[in-house]
This record gives sequence, structure tokens and C-alpha cells, in this order.
Amino acid sequence: MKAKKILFLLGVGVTLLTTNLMADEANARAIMDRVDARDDGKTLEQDMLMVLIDKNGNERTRDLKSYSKDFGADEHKTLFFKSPADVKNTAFLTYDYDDPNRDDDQWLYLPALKKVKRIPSTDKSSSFMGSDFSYFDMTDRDLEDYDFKILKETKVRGHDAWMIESKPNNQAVIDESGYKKSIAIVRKDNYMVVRAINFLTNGKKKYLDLTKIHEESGIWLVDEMTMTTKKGKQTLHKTILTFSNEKLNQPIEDGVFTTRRLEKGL
Amino acid sequence: MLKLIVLSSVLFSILQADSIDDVMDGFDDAPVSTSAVKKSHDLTGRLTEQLAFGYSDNSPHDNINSLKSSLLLDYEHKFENGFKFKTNAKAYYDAIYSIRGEDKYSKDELDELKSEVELYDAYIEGSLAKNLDMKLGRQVVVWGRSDTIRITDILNPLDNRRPAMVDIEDLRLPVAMAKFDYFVGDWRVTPIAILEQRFSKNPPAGSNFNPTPNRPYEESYSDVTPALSIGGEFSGWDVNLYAAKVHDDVGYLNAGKLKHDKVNMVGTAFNLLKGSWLLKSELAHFDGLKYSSTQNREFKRTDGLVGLEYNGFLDTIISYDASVRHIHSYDNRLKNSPIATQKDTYQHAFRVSSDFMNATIKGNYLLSLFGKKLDEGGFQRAWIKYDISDGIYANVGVVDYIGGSNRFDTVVDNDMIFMDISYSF
Repeated sequence: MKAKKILFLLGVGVTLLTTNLMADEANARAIMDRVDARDDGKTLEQDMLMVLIDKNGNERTRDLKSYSKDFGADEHKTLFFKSPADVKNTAFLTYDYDDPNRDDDQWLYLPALKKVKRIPSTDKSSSFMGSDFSYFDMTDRDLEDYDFKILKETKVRGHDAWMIESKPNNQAVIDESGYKKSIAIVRKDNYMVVRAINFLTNGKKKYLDLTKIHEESGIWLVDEMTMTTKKGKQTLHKTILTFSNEKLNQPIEDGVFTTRRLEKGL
Repeated sequence: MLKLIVLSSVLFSILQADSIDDVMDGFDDAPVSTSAVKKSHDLTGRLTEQLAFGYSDNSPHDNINSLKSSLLLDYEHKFENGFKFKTNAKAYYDAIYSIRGEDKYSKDELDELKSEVELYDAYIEGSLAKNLDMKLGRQVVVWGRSDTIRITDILNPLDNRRPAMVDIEDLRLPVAMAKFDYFVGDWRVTPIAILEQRFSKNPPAGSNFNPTPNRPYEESYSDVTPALSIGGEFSGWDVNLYAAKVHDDVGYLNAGKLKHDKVNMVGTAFNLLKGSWLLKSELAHFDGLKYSSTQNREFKRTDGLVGLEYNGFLDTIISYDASVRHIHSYDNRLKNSPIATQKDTYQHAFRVSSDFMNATIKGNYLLSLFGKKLDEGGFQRAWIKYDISDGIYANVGVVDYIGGSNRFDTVVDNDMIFMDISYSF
């Protein structure tokens, strides 16, 4: 009888636990759906300062101008390097298609080659222009590829937030991203991922921190963010991205997103 | 039992919380501070010191055989109406000739390689109408898709004076042209008038890449020649059609003069994208080619290239290009010139470029080989570019010349180590 009681209690416990876990998963996914659906504007023009800092504190800076525009569900982006002098006039154009089965179109203008060169899709875990951000970090994630779990509720810089773990549910996504799991901290008031820890398959961790954000016409924009690569407690490399002169939802000519414009420069 | 499970769950939760908090400690709460960005100005430039060391014991080109100081100045100005003026010039002085004694070198080598001031780009560009751009002046126009083998890229001559040793940005020599781009949907029509007839700079006589004592007199031309490109760019692929009537860059010897008669060229280039793969192809047909051993007889030649570029490895690009140049109605006399011209000339180029330490270090390797079985010579070059700090970088590399045919057997001992340091401002 005692054994039956224990089994019954255990069954109830497991059921409650499972139900709770399922509810957690549903809640976590609902939050991430809100994060994914967050309005980030139809067009954005901004200056971008990229500072690359190595483990000895040596800094390299890249001064860029970026334009992005939604074309239906697709997004077109153009980046122009303004300085330093050795990379000045380098330009990058990408057509990021919403359809995951369609390859992105990408072109690069290198002043040294004096031609616009079509470039195939990179390995997504490759570094974006020498920074700690990867190409994968710059693209939207397909939520269907992940399982989510709320780890706890927390506070970030005085704001209430959820701490949500996301784990890829297939090996292909792990191979593509180089991440075996991530922990995101989502602010409750604006559904923005303000901090994240990405656990790399090679044992390193990448810490994303949106250090300055602001709201404009109901849309939250990033003013400054950092990505730090660490092994254990040791910082290996850090990237600071600072955005300024942001022009949100202002008209940008389609011609900005052409190879013709890459050649002509800013 | 139940107690044990509950206890385990609580313990697990505490451990997990501890582990999470531990990981969260990795965030750096110190305020972000960075040094101010160095703004780029209309006038920019680059100072470079370069040293080359030859393996061979062939004096005076042994040991340190180049100690070059160079200055590149680049000026661009954008006018309020959107037009842009750009010019750049490069001057260099190679001190090795003074250090080792000028009397040890041929006059031709001293004239060509000791010092130089060269005007590169000098053009004005802008839009004449919404769909019409103009670019007028000395400029580089690159046709084709391959970065390593030239099939349709015929409009600008090359600096070949030190083969495999010239930086890619100095390789193509600008030519005065009037270029117009007319845009219709995804298509671009580009008529070009070539206003200046320049030819590739070849190794000077008596230098380690050209042991012959004298260089023939090269005929000059001042006519205007036409070229046309029609290109379309689409999602996942692009195509270009080319036509030109240009002076043959290689030329032929006639009565002791190097002549560059006009040839007709039609060609096409094509890119196809598939995931991390890029398929490249080029095709060109030349009519009116003349060779030294056959004098006034005209030949037709068809050149084709296929290439693959792969970008799917971490921070790495790999490419392989293979080409063949086929002479129609081949004449056996073509075999008799000092450097035989074969009916079919095969060339292969394999290139790997990889970034390390957040692109602070870039490793490059290029293998270029001739022959159907890769057995007719070529070269391999490996070099590392290191970004020391903003605007300061160094290159260290090695060039290995590979024998297998007359053309490369004469330079096979010119293997070199090179290093340079540049400051951009």
C-alpha cells in the first residue's frame, strides 16, 4: 500500500512537473514570438562605429554608414566603410531573404580590386568584419529550430526581465551557428533581448550586452552594444558597436541598395 | 523516496541557479569607453617600406635585391551636384641600386625599376540623368569574374615587371577612357571609348626576370578604340556580354619593333550562386591576333574559363579557376619562337585566404600553374598580412617560381622572400 502511495505521489509529481515544464516552454516560446515580432522599423539609416579590442587592450576602429530597408518580408542592407584610410570606400550589399530556402545575394566592392564582386554565403559562424559578431548574429533566427525554457525572472539595469534558455533542436542549426545553446535576457516592458550569452561548441562564450537603447516613435533602437568573447573568465576579444545619427522610417531610395551605388560610394 | 526526489530537484535548481549566476558574472558592468575614431579626409595616403630577398646566387639579384620606399597619395572630392573627382599617384625609390652600385645593373633595369612617379586614377564621375552615369579620365575597368586568370579582363594593361611580386591594387594600370553606364531594370549597358593606348609593363632587359640584353622598341598608338559591355544582375546569378576592338596587349615582333595591332574581341562572363558555392565562367573569342614567328598571318583564338569559389569554411575563402586558350588553324611555326605558343595553353589557379584572430592576421596562398597536367611551370606565393594597429600593417611572404617550360625555366631561381610595412593616413 505504501509503495502504491509513493508511486501515485510520484506520478502526480511527474505529471505536475511535466505540465509545468510544458507551460514554461509555451510561455517561453510566446515571449520569444513577441521578441521576434517586435517592430524595428521599415527603414533605418545610421552611422556606426565599430571598435575591436583584443585581449591586450589594443583597439582598431571602423567607421561605417549603414542603410537598411524592408522590401516586403525581405531586407536589403548596404554598408559603406568611411575610415580608416586602408579600408575606405569598401562597401557591402546584402539582400537578406525571408525564405530560408533562398540563398542571400551579397556583393562586395573592394577598392583594391576596383570591381564589385558577388560573394557566396559565408559560413554563418564566421566573424563579421573581424568583430566578435558572426554573420549568424546579424540574421534573424527561425524560432521553429529552438526549444525554449524560462530559467528565472531577473532584473537588468533596474528593469524586470525573463531569463530564457534556447537550445537548437537539430544538429544542423548547431553546426550553422556554432552555438550549442543561448541564454537570453528579455526585458518585460519592451520584449527586447538586452543581454545574451551564447555558448559556443568550442567551449568559449560570447556575451552580448545592449548597453544603451532608446525609444523613438514606439520603436526601440540600439545606441550601443558590446559582444565579448571569453574563455572561462578570460576576455579574448571584445567589440563595441556605437550607433548615431539614426534616421528611422525616413525614405531611402531603392538605388542605395544596388551594385551601381556600391561602386560610386557614399 | 519522494523526499529524495524533491531534495534532488531543489538541489538541482540551486546548482543551476548558481551556475547561471556564475555565467552572468561574465558581463562587464564597467562603462564602455573607446578612443575617438580617426576621421578620413579627402586626401589620404600610404607610406610603404618594402624589402625583397632573393634565394639565388645570381649577382646582383641575390640576397637583398629590393629596398623600396613608396608613397601613395589619393585625393577625392565630392561636388554638391553629386559628381566626384578622384586621383591618386604613387612614387617610389628603390635604394638597393645605389647601395649595391648602379654599374652592376642594366640601363633598362635602372630606368624601369630604380624610381618612378606614376599617375594612377584621375577621373571625374557622376550621373548625367537618373539612369545614366559617366566616368571620364584615367581609370580601371575590370571585365570578367575571375580574380586570378584574365580571360575577358582586357581593357587595362598590367604591371608585370616583377611577376607575382606586385600588389593587386597596383597590378592593373589605369587607362584614359570615357565610360557611360545606362541602366534599364536589372540591366546595365556600358559603352566605352578607350582614349589612351597603354600596354603592360614587362620585366626590363637585364633584370632577373628578363635575361635578354635588349628590349625591342615598342610602337606607340594614339587612336581611340571602342568597347561595349551589357550586363544583367539577378538573384542568384549574373551575366555579362562584351565586345571590343582593342590593341593586342602582348603584341608581336616585326622588323625589330614590338607592334600591337588591333584585334576584335567578343566574350561573356557568368556567375551562378548556390549556397556557399559560386560558379564562375568566362568565354572570349579573339580575331586578328598576330605572333612573332608567323608575322602577318592573322589567327583566331578562343579562351574559356571555369572557376569555383567556396565560402563555407570558418573565416576562409577557397577558389579554383581553370582556363584554356585555343588557337584556331594552328601553324606549327608558332612552336618555333623562343617562348613557344602552343595550340592549347592551360592555366590553373588555386587560392586560399583565411582570417585569424578577428581578422588581425590574414593568411593567403596562391598557386598558379600552366599545362594540362600542371607541369609547364608557374609560381606559388604564400603571404601573411598582419594589422599591427589602425592604419599600420605588415606583409611577410614567399614567392616560389616553378619550372617546366622555357618561359618559367629562366626565372626558376628567382624565388624570393618579401616583407613590407605600410602606414595609411
